[in-house]
Amino acid sequence: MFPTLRLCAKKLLLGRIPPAKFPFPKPLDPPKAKDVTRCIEALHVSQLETENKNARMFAKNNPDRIRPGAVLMVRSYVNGSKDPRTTSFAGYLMKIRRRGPQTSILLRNKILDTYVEAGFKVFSPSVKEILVINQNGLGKRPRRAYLSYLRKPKFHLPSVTPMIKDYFESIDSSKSKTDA
Amino acid sequence: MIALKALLKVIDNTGAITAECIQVLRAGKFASVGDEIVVVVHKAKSNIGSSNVTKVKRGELYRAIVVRTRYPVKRPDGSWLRFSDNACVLVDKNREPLGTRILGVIARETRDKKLLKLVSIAPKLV
Repeated sequence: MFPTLRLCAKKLLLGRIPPAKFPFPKPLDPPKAKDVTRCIEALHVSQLETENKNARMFAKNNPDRIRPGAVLMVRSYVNGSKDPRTTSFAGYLMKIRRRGPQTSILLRNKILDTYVEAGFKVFSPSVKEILVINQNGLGKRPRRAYLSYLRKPKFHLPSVTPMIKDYFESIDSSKSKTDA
Repeated sequence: MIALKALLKVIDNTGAITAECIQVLRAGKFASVGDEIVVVVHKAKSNIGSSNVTKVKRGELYRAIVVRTRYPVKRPDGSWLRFSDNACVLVDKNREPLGTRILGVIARETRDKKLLKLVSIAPKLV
């Protein structure tokens, strides 16, 4: 007697309140790899290696890559890449900090009796170009990846300005030769 | 990162050689490039050639603008700049330089901070 009553009540309830079927969206496909950020970084790096011309200069697997001790000139936009005005900083390459898209270089130069060190992010869009003034500005191949010893007075180097002058003069002379 | 007791090189032709920071005129403890500080002249040249420049004496209080720091100055594009010394230029209350010449490099941040008179007499901006 009691079970049938219960069943009737249940049926009544079921009739009055139909079960709601919420349209849940289908679950997304899971990511292919466990570490998604690593995949995205790899994507960025591959993009940079194909699009950015500075990538080959510092790639570890390039036998003609720039090594510490080189003299580089970095031309960077002053007010963002929309404004064509650039400023340049040249110096001895002290360190290449390889961190994928955030790869940066450290240059050191003597400007008007003060030693100035500047770091530049190689793949930054504000870096217009990196010119190689000299593959090796130290004479001897440095036996270090990080030339922090250049900060000591014993290893102080002269300003890079005469090297830059020679570089641009040689470019001009070669240009005039080709024109002639 | 210039704070109280920091010794800075004075790179204008006022006659001061080194100055000690006694107050940083901004919210916070540290001054960077382009910030104004109050300094005491630590060492000064005894006589100066040009007569139109304020003669600065040892122990006197002046305002100064920091123009070079050993602590790196970060730029919005991710690049940064570090000098081998800390340097300042003595200024008056209107942030105009007391000297007529600046002897050395200056960070470009001084231009951003609207110190145009200072920037105009600087020999080189980095």
